[in-house]
Amino acid sequence: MKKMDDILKQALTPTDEPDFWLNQKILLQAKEVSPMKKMNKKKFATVALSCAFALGVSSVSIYAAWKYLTPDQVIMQAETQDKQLAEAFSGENAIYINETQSYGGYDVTLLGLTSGKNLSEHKFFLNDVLMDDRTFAVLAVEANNPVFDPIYDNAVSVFPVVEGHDPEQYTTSVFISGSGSQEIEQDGTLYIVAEFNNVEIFADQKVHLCVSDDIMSYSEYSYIYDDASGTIARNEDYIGLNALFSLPLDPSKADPEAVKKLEAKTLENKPAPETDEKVPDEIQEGWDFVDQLTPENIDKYATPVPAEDVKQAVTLDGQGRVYAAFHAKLPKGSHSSRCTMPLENAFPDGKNWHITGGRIGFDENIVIEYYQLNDDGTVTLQLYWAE
Amino acid sequence: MVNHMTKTQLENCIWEYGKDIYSFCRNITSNLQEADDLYQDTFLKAMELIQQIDYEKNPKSYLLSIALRLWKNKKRKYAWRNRIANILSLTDELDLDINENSDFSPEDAFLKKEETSLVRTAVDRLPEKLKITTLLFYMEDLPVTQIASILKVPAGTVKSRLHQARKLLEKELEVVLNEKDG
Repeated sequence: MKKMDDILKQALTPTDEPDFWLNQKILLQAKEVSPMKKMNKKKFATVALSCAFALGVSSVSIYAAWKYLTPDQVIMQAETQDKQLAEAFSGENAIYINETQSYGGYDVTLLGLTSGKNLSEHKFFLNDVLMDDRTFAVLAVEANNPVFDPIYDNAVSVFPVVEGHDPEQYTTSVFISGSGSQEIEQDGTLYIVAEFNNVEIFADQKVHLCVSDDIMSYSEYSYIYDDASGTIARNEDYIGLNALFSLPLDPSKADPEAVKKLEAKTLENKPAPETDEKVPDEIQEGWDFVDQLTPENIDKYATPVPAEDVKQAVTLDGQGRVYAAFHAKLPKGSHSSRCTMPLENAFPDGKNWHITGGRIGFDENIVIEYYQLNDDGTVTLQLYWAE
Repeated sequence: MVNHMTKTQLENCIWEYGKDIYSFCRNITSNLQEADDLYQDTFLKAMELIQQIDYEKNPKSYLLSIALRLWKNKKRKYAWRNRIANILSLTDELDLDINENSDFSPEDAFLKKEETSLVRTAVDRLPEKLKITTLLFYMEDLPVTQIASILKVPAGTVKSRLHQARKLLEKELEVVLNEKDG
């Protein structure tokens, strides 16, 4: 009998070669790439702004309508140029919202929404099942001064949540599974056409649309789901974009029977929790090392990360929680983190310092977070690294 | 001392690791056009992030990490294209390079190609978390701790995913596993 490891090793040995001309194309384009390209700042047409001010427009929605493309214009400029969908945004099922929310240096405007059957020219099958009851949302996103420069493109994700339904289980598998989104950029504004499954059947419940720059689509850092009450709210302490729009769906379109079936199926497919086995020695040693550090000895055993290599934000909210987010370049590797800590956990029994950290990968440095509770009640963070 | 990568070194990476990165792109996208785009974007993004890459410290792992993150962001966008383009299936189109100069007889080479095709299809069908972990381990030959670093999960989770993947593949590949060695 063959061994699974051998079979996999043999079959998965890399065999695909990039085309010679593909490599040449990269090398040619690479000459024009500058290190760390920043995201475009907004540069929308000043003429639109002047017109809006000249008319003395005070309503956000009308202002937004002047400022941005309409949903059907966005759709016709997107890659698929889906005429049927563009027309749907002019039909009776279309809802023009034009609500703007600003968080984390982004202005996000939910321009419009449409739900129903046969909205798109392109049929969508999920596991061989035709999904013809769909919801499409069109958004405009402007990055004015993002708290964190997006390191990667397409940094904004859009996804629905329904109160009473744990986003961990529903967001990916029920609402966005297999769905697509299209983006176009015009005059410094990013337009997103996002599509979702199974939203309209929940129309008689509280449905929201999340727009986030968090690393994961949904995470407990950017949104808070209360298991007991089923409510979903923005995490006010999140540093970054975490907009939450309420979707004004038509309750008469709800389908409680379909919801029940979906809930049963989702419960059936609920993944088993991942089990963590013993951590490798290199990682455990990193934790043990950090456990030994104190304010008195930290400068002896670790090196402060220079300010120019760190981008960080530390705040204290009214409920006594420390919120910290940082991205640091280390001699070996880099590390990003976002965390929330209740003050009493971070600084128990009158202690005014908190040191934590560890080694993320065995070829990377140990990163150490040294929090200090100052006399004026503020909290400061100094990052250190060690071999 | 950090040895920031130069453009020449990154160009060297294209020749040195191009095959590894490209194979990974082919297998996570399961599509030629998307793999080409992802491969190209990975190296262009690496050019932008060149000051964060240490040439002495496993640039392949860093490149794979860029490819994976770009793919996570792009896959929803690609889902649109999948519906309107003629997508060739992974195994129809994969260039299964069973070395023509090897010692395999034509019959053995055919059987080998069939087996490779079966295994790759089974891996392609794994849930995405398990598939990516399997590819990084078996295709890219990365140790568990490096995979943990790329995926930002504890090493124990990587081991657990590999274990789950092997369990699922055992069922799928029963026929291949029961063949006699040879």
